[in-house]
Amino acid sequence: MIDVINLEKKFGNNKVLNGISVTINKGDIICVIGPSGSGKSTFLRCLNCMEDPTGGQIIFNGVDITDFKVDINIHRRKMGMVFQHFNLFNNKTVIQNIMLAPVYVQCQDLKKTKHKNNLIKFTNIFKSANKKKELLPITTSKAQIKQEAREQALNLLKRIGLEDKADVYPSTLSGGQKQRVAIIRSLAMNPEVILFDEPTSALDPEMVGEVLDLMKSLAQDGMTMIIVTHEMGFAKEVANRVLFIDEGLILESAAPKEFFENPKHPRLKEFLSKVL
Amino acid sequence: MGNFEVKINTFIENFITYNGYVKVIDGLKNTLLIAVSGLIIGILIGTLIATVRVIPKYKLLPRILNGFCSFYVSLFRGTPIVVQLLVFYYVLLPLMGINITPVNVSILVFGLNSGAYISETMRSGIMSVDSGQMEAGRAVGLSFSTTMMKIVIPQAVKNILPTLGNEFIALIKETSVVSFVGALDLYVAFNNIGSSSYEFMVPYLVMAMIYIVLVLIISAGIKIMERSLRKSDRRN
Repeated sequence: MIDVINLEKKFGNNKVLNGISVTINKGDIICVIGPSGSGKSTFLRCLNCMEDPTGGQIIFNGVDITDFKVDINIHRRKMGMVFQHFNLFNNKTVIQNIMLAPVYVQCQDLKKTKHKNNLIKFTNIFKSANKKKELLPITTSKAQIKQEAREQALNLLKRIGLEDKADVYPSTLSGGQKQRVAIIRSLAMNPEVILFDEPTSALDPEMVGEVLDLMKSLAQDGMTMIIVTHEMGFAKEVANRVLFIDEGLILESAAPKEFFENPKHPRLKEFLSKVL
Repeated sequence: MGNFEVKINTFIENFITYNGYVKVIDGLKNTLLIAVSGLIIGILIGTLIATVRVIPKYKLLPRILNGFCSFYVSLFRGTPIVVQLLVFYYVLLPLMGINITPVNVSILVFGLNSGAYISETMRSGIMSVDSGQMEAGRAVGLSFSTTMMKIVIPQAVKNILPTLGNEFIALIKETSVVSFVGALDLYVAFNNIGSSSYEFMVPYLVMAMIYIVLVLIISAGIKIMERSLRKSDRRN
């Protein structure tokens, strides 16, 4: 589904990624592990062009999204992202946070269809009766889109047991609650893959569990996930492939059992001996 | 103090018996019209400029726009508002063959001028919003401009509301220079009353009081607005 070919990223003269190539298939759950400053977060942020790569290609569903001519917004809708610091929209309530993007995108599509229909109507005036073009079908309305998005959002909130928090502002939630809302906010766009950028690093230990549990249940649903994390236990349990990144290169890529029990690269051996 | 009573009586006579109040009401209307319209135009221009100035500058077009905006800001912050009024009214607009009333010229100039100031305020407001907000908006597939409009600017406005109120108060007071191009404002109205009786003390005193009352009303309004916008924070 995602093919990363020779990805490079420079910040000024500082080369962070030195040619990363990896293929991610549908249903993969990939954990990315590495020391800080190794470029793992940059790698993740390059995948949806949050940082524009300075070299290489990222092929997502057959389209090279590093190309400036590609409308990145359309592809980002299929790639959810969860941040270390949650980044919920502070000026919106919880349910508005979840509904905002789906409603906006669908209303935008509706508007486009209406404009096209108006154009067809206009050109039809000048055409003979048998050549008139048919109007594009409009099946929804703004109110209906909003209604459906609201139901979907409430269902998602029910899934994490926060339906009573629908109308409060994010500033009143705890860290774990914020992160779970952030996860279902990205789920609301029905993405094909979700990128997690250290989702539990800013949480206190008590709340890490609830977020990891939600991620596990996503994994069981078959969601494709790429997770930058320091939670070795989680990586061992859930991932089907673990990547070790250091100095902007993938040094080891293996199934978790092999990765943790029989590491090959000396740098990984050293790293694991320190953290485990 | 007897002298003072005479002065007050002269003022009341001029104000009510000789219809001075008609001009005062007109002047008050113009003062408020110029300040409010100027503020609205200023906020629109200021937001636009501030947005242009925070766009990432990889490409050529944002760079050109950015250069133009900094030029605009330094031009309007670098000259006194009286000079701008005079230049617009007596030089620029006649040269372009446009003929508009002094009040409309004042609205235009005050709008352009406060746009330059508000753009800097707005820019600091936008930069005070956590960059994660923009990232989160982009990550769910919204465009730069949509995220700006729906997420970043509402939060920025909340942060800079006290400063915007300041700007509005400054505008109200600055409008007293529009008499340079012959617009009728509060100052001109009271000046007329004073010069018709050669007695300026009381008219100017009343004028000052009207300005103070206006400013107090506005500050109260801003406070109410601030409180309602703070709903999403817990610091009330």
